[in-house]
Amino acid sequence: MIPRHIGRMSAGIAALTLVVAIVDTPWETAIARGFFVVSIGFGLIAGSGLIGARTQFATGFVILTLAVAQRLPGQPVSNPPSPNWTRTIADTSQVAEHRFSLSETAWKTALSKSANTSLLVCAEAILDQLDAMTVTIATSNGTFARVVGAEDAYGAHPRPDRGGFYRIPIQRDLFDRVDGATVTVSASQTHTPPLRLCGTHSIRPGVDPNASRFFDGTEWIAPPGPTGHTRWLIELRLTDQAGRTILAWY
Amino acid sequence: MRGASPSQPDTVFRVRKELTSVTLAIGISDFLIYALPIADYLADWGALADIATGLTVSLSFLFIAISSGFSSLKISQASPPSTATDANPEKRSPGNVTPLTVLILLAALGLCSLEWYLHRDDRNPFLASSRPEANEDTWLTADGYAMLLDGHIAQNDGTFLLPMLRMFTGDAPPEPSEFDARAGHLYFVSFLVPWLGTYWAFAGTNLVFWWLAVVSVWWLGNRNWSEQSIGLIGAVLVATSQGFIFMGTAPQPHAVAYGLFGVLLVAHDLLLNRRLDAPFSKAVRFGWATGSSGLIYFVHVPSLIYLWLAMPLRTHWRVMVIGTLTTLSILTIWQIIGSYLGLSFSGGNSALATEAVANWVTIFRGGLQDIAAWGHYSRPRGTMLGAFWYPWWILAAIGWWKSPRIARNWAMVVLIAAFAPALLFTTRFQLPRVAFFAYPGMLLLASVGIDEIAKLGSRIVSSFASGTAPVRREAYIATVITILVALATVTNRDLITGSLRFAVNFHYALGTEW
Repeated sequence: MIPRHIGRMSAGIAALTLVVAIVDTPWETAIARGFFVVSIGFGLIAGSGLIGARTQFATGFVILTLAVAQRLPGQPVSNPPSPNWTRTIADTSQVAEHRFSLSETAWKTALSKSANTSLLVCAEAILDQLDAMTVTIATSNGTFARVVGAEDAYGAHPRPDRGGFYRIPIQRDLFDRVDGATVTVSASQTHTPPLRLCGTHSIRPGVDPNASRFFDGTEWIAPPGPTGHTRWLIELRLTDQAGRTILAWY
Repeated sequence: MRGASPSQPDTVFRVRKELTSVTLAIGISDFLIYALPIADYLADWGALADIATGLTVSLSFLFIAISSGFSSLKISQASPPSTATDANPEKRSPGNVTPLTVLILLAALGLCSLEWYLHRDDRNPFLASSRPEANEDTWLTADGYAMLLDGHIAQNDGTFLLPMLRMFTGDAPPEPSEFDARAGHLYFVSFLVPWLGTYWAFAGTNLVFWWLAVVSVWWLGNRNWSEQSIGLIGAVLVATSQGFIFMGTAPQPHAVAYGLFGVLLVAHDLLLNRRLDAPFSKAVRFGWATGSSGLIYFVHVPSLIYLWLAMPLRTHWRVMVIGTLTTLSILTIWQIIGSYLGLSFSGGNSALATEAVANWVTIFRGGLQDIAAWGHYSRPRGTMLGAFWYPWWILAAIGWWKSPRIARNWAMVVLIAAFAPALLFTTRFQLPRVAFFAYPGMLLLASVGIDEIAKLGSRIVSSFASGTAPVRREAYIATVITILVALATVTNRDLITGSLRFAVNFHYALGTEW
């Protein structure tokens, strides 16, 4: 085929690409697509002509194919599920629980290198002057309980209605040669304002999807959340002598 | 040697100007150190050396850029314009493409595909370096700054790109966001969404432009150096480079922009770096390409700096002006159209560059003391090292020394074009990801460094062995492969040992530590 003819065909393909991109679409989409077909699509077709007429034709064909593909029915672009949700704990009969598996090599290796261990619990309530939250951690080595208040706030607490971590130092001995730990969080006093405990996705491979659960006063249920794999935002942190985080675990 | 050129009087760069610039930068940096107020951060030699190095490197590039500007004003030849900043280039024939070349190039493409796949989901370094173990944002959750995209864990800034993507797929009307100036990226991604779903459409687009970067660097290596090995080594270095690995599967436009910068350098060479018939038409075409690429992410800035530094100013200023105006026209037209559609082009990320400039004004008003303190607080050394760690700098320095003048000048323009905006931006954020735009120049210079070391290795081996050509060749290949594997081990340290060190350096820039 004569390159001159290929050049004309490339121009035809470019025009066809524009038509395919904008016909029968919402007007905003048509305008936006039209601009980019002209600026980028036509630019690529023209630019590939620097290499040769056949390359230009092939580029035009690929862009036309992509413009057709763009219109194919497929998966919608859905919003990701919210990574932050809360559950109100209104009275002392309600309990949030998260069970940690501590048998993995990653945990044991990091524990052997660590100098300090702590538990991080995210709550949305303002734990200011009130001792709002009671946190208990139990392993086969024993149990540790702590009432958490404003002085335990850790990291960014940008707004009173936003969640933030509360950090509770834990004796390292509690984790020696254990394969699991169970943390429970409950409201400290019945007259405290409702406590809103944070939750998020459970993403890490190997984590039991049922590691978190909630006792609503009558029965144990799964924590709420936008997906089937949810967890309370309760994490263990291992740090070295310099205070640097070695491992964040849930 | 095809890339070598006889000594000529009119070139934009000369070694003596570069060495003079560096010497001057060292002297001024030492002087500036004495302007610093007594502060805790000056308590150890490492911190002092950090400031001195940051100031020296920054001033060196500044002085080289200024001296090149003055030099290019003197060049009066009308044509041909340049071959990589040289007024009198040698004519070159295109390199031979042998079956072995094609095989190695395909292997490089396979290698970046492998890196891309191995660094997917939670192993994406952009995401991984936001986890608490990175010790930067320790208040984030154990999974870092993450979202679930089509069931895949991904870097969470991608959330803000989805409304624009939905507009291109025709699923939703426009919604303003901080990233509307980067709509071209989502235009590309929208092609693949119906086939691949959202997560893999983002990742697949990145991979395509990663491939383009590999091919572009191979082409530029062949164009600027005589040995075919330079382009091939450069292609492998791109395939295993920190920047592309970091961005490979992130739902972000950076990898696309990196790839396009390599393509723009090729386009500049094809359009403007040869005998200029119809120069204004070609300037419009290059400006068009740069403007369209600028709709992806930031790539128009290094590309325009390159345009202004790569050719003699006195004879080609019209080409530069037309190219720049065309670029700005494309960007402005999208802003007008986007504003009509209800999109946003002010505030948020768009305002960060203005804030960086305002911070520079404050620094200059503060006098020498504040200028010197910039070397500490804005971490210029950390920004450069975050983009390319020590071994790459050492190899590039060897490559710079051993390269023919034209290639050396070309690479220096690329480095300045990429490092200048990264350093200017440090008053607001330290962004090694911006400095990484230097990859075509940096990695090709490093390729020359590797080539030189391998040649030395083959000479040493041949002095002990039989000294035959096959033995020397095998020693050369073995040395090249050894160095490439060593460098790839560094950029894949996250996979091998779980260490996030280099990902963290690329994300946040180094501090004062060495």
